[in-house]
Amino acid sequence: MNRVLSAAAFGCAGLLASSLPARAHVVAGARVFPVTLTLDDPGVSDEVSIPALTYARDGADGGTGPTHEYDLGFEYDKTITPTTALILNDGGDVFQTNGSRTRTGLENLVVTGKWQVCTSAAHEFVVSLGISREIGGTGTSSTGADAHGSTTPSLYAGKGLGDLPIGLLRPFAVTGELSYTIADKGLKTLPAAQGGTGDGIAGAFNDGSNNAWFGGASFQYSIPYLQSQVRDVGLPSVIGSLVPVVEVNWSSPASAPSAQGTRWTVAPGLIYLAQWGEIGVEALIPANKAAGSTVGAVALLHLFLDDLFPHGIGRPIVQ
Amino acid sequence: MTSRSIAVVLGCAILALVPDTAALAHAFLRNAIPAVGSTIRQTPADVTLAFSESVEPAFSTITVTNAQGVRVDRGVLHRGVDDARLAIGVTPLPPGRYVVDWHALSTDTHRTQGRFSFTIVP
Repeated sequence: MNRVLSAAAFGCAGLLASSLPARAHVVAGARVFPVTLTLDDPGVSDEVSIPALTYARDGADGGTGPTHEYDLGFEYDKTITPTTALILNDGGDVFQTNGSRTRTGLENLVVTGKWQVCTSAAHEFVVSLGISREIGGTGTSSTGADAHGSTTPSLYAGKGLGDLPIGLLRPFAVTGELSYTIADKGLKTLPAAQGGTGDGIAGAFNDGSNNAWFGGASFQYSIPYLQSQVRDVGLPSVIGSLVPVVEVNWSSPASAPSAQGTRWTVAPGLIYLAQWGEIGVEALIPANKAAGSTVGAVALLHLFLDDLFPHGIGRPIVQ
Repeated sequence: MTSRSIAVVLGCAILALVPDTAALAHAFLRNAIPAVGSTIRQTPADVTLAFSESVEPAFSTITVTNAQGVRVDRGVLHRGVDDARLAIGVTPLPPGRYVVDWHALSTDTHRTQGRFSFTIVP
């Protein structure tokens, strides 16, 4: 880590130490669902990720060489009404392969409309629906951005266990996401004479994509909830602001031909909730052969605009 | 400076501009007297809740009920020693388990709520 990064890290640490142990973000009754790192949270709010930094090395990303991949993801969520939001996602990729030139590029822009359909305060329950549109050709093709877009309807849900008579287990919560991506241009096998992209496997394919399923779940234990709803055990504010979390997700092609199999990833980590936002860090552990063989990592710095600017950009456009 | 360095510095710069102790948004319970989930021996004069943000007493509520669901608070909510604290008096309480339900409206109109219990033993 160079000196600039070190100074920045110390600065962040200082801000962390001085912060109040408050928390956000999707709120259902006494339950606060923090922003998870590998799947979307179950509700809508005004927030921004600056950034989510993901690191993967060769096998963790399904590659064959010693390639280090850094993804710098940005997200901006803007509520239109208290229960609907428009979300913009984009990011940059850096690929460093030993012995080769470093490649950099942008990812395709993704626009999502999300509707928080149901919120039960008494049962700490949230359900949302979303539809995302990946705009093909807005990213850099040499680093993997598709020339063709896709459309992805999604279902999100979150449930806290605080309404159950289970004592110290009440701080547990589960969130989940299920998505189905419909590619604009399907993946097809090309006759050998036409070549195709090859896509790294035997046979040749066009530049289309598979339709695909994505599913994920997070299992989280909220220490803030423990302290404020179940038992104040007198923890220091920094520890009292932590949410240990394990996220599990999978993706699977849903159409033939398929260049890749179903991938499973497990991501254990910690989320620190503050008044202004959260910081999360998780390991990305491949859980099957298709997901690779090396452990990656993801870190998130996320700001809660509705808490920071409740009278400005942090409030819905239409109340 | 690499693009990664720029991103980290930019993120921290934005973070540094953010006020972290001003009166902002959701009011969450920081602590309570009696403490959340605690066991005590004497009836407190008040149940006092300390929030992370300033709250509006006129639009906030605290109720204290016994194991039979009967209210044992005195019904009048008042501000604590600062704008982030609310308190409500309670009648003399016999040994038993009591539940505190609260709804808070922060000064910027975010609503939060919660529930906890405490126990009085002889």
